[in-house]
Amino acid sequence: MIRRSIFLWIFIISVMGVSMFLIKHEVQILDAKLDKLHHDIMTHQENILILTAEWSYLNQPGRIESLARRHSDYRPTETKQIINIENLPYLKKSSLVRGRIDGD
Amino acid sequence: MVIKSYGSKSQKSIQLDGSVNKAIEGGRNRLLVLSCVFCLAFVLAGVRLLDVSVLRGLQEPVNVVETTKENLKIGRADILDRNGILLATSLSVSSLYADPQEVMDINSTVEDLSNVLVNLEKEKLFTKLNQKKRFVWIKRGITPMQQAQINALGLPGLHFQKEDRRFYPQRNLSAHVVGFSGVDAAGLAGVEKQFDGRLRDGSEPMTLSIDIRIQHILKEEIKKQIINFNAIGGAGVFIDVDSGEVLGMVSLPDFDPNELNSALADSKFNRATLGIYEMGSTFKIFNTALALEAGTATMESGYDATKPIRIARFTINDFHPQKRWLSVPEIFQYSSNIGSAKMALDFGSKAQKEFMKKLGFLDRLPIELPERGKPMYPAPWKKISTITISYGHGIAISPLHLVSGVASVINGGIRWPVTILKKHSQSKMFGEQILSLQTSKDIRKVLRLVVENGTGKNAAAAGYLVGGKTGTADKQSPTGSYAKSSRLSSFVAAFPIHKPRYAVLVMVDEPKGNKKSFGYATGGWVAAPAVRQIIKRSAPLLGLLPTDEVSPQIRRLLEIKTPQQKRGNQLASF
Repeated sequence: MIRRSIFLWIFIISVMGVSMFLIKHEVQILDAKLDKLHHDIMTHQENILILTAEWSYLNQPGRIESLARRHSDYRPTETKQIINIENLPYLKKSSLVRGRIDGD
Repeated sequence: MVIKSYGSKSQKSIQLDGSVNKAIEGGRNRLLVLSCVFCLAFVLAGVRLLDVSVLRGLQEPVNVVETTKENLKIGRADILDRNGILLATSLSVSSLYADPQEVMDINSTVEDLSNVLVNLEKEKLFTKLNQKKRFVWIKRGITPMQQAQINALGLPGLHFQKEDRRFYPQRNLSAHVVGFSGVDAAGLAGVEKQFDGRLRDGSEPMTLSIDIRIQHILKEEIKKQIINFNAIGGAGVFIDVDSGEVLGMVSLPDFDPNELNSALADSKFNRATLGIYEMGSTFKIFNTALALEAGTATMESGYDATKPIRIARFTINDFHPQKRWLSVPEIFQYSSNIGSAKMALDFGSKAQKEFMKKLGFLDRLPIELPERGKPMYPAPWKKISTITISYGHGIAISPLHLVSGVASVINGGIRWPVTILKKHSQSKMFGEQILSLQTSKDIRKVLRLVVENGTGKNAAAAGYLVGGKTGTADKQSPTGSYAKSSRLSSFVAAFPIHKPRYAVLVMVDEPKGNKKSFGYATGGWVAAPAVRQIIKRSAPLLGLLPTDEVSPQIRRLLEIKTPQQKRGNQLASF
């Protein structure tokens, strides 16, 4: 009886020992992974900082303006290009309605 | 094992029984002690388990987050414009230093380094490396590329150190507002100095009210006029009249905060807030407003401007003499000094000083910048001062003072404190009513008159209903006399004038007349065209739709009833 229980205890203890070793090993691996991740995050964060600074540098209005003048045909909107929809000629409500009826 | 043997069988068993009993007794005792120890151990383990899993359970993830945060914080907080564009940021850069005791061959080290680092002063480095120190800086803030190259040289005695360095990606554009910080990351000017503490320990970025696009337009247009008129400098301010937020603030010449060593001292001076100037005729806005508010003049009343005023040893003359009776709007339109002086004499010195105080013209502006000029005003405030202040001489204020004053006069009469920080929709604002709404409306009308039919025609940006006032002040020379050749030409405008949203000031320092302006270097010729361009370019960015300037509603809003309607063509644009 006693002998059997001793075996049982030894068995339990060895199982626990092995599983503890395995878990500890796993935790160590995870720890290393976490460290690496932290390090990576920091590197990325630093890179993002540099990139945002560069983005802002490249987006200086003066630079964009000269690039736009050189490479694009678009020019700043003139005041006369902006008009209210109600002020558009030939687009009065009544004429629109009549046009549709005529078309039908 | 058993000592007393060889006796009878029963005796033996009894003895045996006794020894077994003893052993069992001992075993029991041991077991008891052992189980007690185990119990205690389990209780301890249980308590600890409870402590770790239940009582401290919540702290575990917090710890992880904290370490992450701490690791990633890099130096000072960022500064952003109102749309989130980066104006200042801290980057971690490598700096190169040497331990002269470890350097083996000084000559070859200097030679090799000068191949990688251009602009390196060889002699200086040579003497540095000959010192008996253990630490000398060679270059602070080198690029990753240079670092790799220096590493590849494999020179002994050279080391790198990671350092925080402030970087201003928009370069000159917001230099005077954002300011700059030194190599050791201490704020030395502008917002960097004002909010040094907040920037040091906060990782939250700071958002300014500046709009970098407006800033660019302001700078470009003013720079153009400085070149056209061969001026020594200029300043420009663009503010939201209903909140006091500064959308743009420019002082020229400017500097690149990334390269402070090559910046001239003059370029670091913020003319918009630190410089104080006698503003000239733009002051007639306040003079007219006070006369209307005090009731000593109305939009229909007028003054005799036929003859110059002679007081003490001074003669007050008009730049655009009409030599007749002028109504109050006409005095404003033709920028008559004589008429303005007479208006001022009617409400008197006391009222004038009080009004200047209310406008904030006698104190430093409460703007969040360390560079704030202290206004200069006469003490005692004599009758002659009252006369000269009516047309903007004898009192010196900063350009930002002027715009802030104009904003409060035209926005319905409320003075909002000007600010460089972006306001949120929930931010509480504390404004002070300094004028009535009616006076404010009347001033809008006369401002429109100047642009429509007066000295400010060049500022008319079609569709945006610009109203404004020219100012041309003779600058006082160090000896105290006024020189005709050195002037300060300015134009202050608001738009759309029937419902003002924004106010702009352009000021050009010492412009010289050119052929295109027929030799004139006045506010109407120098500053007004810049204002037109600024408004024309910035209004679409701010989402303002052009209005029909000749529509009956607008006409009725801005109509002025003049008693003697005599608006001839005798008036050229000045």
